[in-house]
Amino acid sequence: MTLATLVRQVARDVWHDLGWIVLYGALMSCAAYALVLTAVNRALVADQGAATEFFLERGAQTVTLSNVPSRAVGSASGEGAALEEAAPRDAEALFAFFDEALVEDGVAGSVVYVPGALGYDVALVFLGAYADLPAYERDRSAPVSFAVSRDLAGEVSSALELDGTRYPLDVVGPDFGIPYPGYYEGPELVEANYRDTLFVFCPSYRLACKLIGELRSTDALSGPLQRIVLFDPSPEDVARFRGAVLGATGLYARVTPLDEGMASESFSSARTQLAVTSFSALAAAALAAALVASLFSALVRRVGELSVHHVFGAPLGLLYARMAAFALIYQALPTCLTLAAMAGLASVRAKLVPAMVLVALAVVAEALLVALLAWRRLRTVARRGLRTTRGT
Amino acid sequence: MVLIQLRDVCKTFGSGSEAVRAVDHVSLELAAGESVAIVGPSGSGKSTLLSMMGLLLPPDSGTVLVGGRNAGAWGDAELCRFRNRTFGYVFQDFALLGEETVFENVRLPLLYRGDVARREHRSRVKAAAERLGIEDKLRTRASKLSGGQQQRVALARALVCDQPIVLADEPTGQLDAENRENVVRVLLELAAEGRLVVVVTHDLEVAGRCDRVVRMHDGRLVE
Repeated sequence: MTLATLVRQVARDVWHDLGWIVLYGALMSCAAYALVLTAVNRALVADQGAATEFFLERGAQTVTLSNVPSRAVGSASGEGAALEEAAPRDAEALFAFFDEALVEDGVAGSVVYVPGALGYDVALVFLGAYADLPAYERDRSAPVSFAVSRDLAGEVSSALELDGTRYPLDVVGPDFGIPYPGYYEGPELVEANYRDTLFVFCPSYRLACKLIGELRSTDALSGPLQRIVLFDPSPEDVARFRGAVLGATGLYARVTPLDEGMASESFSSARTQLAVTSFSALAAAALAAALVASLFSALVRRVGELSVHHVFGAPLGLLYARMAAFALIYQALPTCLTLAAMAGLASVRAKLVPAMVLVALAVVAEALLVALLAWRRLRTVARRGLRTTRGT
Repeated sequence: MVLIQLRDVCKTFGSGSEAVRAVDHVSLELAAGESVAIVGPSGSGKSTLLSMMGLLLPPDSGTVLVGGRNAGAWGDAELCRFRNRTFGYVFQDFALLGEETVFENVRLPLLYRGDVARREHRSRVKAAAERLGIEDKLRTRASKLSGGQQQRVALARALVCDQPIVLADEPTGQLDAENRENVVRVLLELAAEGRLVVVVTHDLEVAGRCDRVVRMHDGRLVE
């Protein structure tokens, strides 16, 4: 018997069950796609959670700036909630606070965007506690570390010269992400958003201002104040900070512990996530079970017919090959659609590639196993001699 | 020429207290050109004996020689190849592939023959179909045929490879008188041409028309 004949036979087997194959293919791919999407969302949420953890562990307190109600500052005797105009007065106290708080192991951290700095499209300066962002291992023995975005890898020299001093110049790794309180800019987003970028990890605000003059020249409302986070500050630190901000901007700085409200929010989010994941997983598992059962049933339906082939000369090994090929093709459509869905997502999440390989291998193994189970039934039937075909 | 030799063959189904000895120390020689009927009550071991003759069931003990060759130690692939070239089988329930055409059903043994070119399949199938009077049904789906026509398809399949031995298990069991007569006539013609035809039957009229009748009772020959 030629391979072409075997292929024709398998094609005919598939043709007889094409309706089921298409139906299960469509349903399975929908369920699998939903599951994959849920898994990706879950991974993203986990990343966000890890980022938030970074801040929570350090007792972070976020800052919100708002106009000062007249009664709050006691500067006006007007009724109600009339707001006083924000009027910048003295920025020196604020800069002094930055000098003191934005240092190695200081009580504050911030990241400042400086467009066009040092010849790059943008420079991101990580100050104070922010210099220890988890996704980059800076040299803590050095006061400052520089790294460029990955698009510049191979295009820049290994050192950066500033004011006659040469600093080592690194390239950020593929896992480099930027955590903010309650939000995480993951590696994919960083790679997409920051091109031609210099990342400066400099705990000392004062040193950073020396290296990048634009930092000190920015007005008080921009610069470190925009994204400042206080880490485990004492009441005195908070009071001083508020006073400095009020003095510099006329705005009231509301300092809120990050963990307030975060617990109930994360619980609610986790519960929703669990419900969606469970539903998707159950739907996918139920459909996968139905697909496997349907495949097994389709194979068993053929046992009578295949036993006739065996009587007239088809070896059992050849019949197993036919059953296994049918089983593989039966599952090829849902598998291919699922892998296509995963491939689409893999462009966003590189971690999915091993999962795709695993899915493909699992499907092949499962198809061969189901075919083997049905084939064992055929072998049993074949051992009945001339009664082999009864009822076919 | 002796084509099938059974030497003291036994076959038991089940085990322990539920064991049933279907064939009990049977020895028999069957020659080319013979038509042999195996008769006996239900459960006497006729079909089991026929299955062992056709190398579809191995005996528990004893020897089955076909054309002087002992298939006892052969692997499945070798056994299949030998069966394909040696035996044509006819079943009471026809054992056709219902979703396939008559052509595909008759051609089935040729698919596994190996030494018959694909272009020869059509002429061989056509010749077998003409002999059985079903040449106009070759494109019809087997499940659409009447019982008599289906058995003629099964007969065509049994002789399309020029197999020297035809084994028929109750071939007329589901046929009316006219179709039964047609099937018996073809089987006897095949024996007259030099083939060995072995028929398991309950029908004593059919058995009476064979060259030889072998009777079985409780797995033993009572010839």
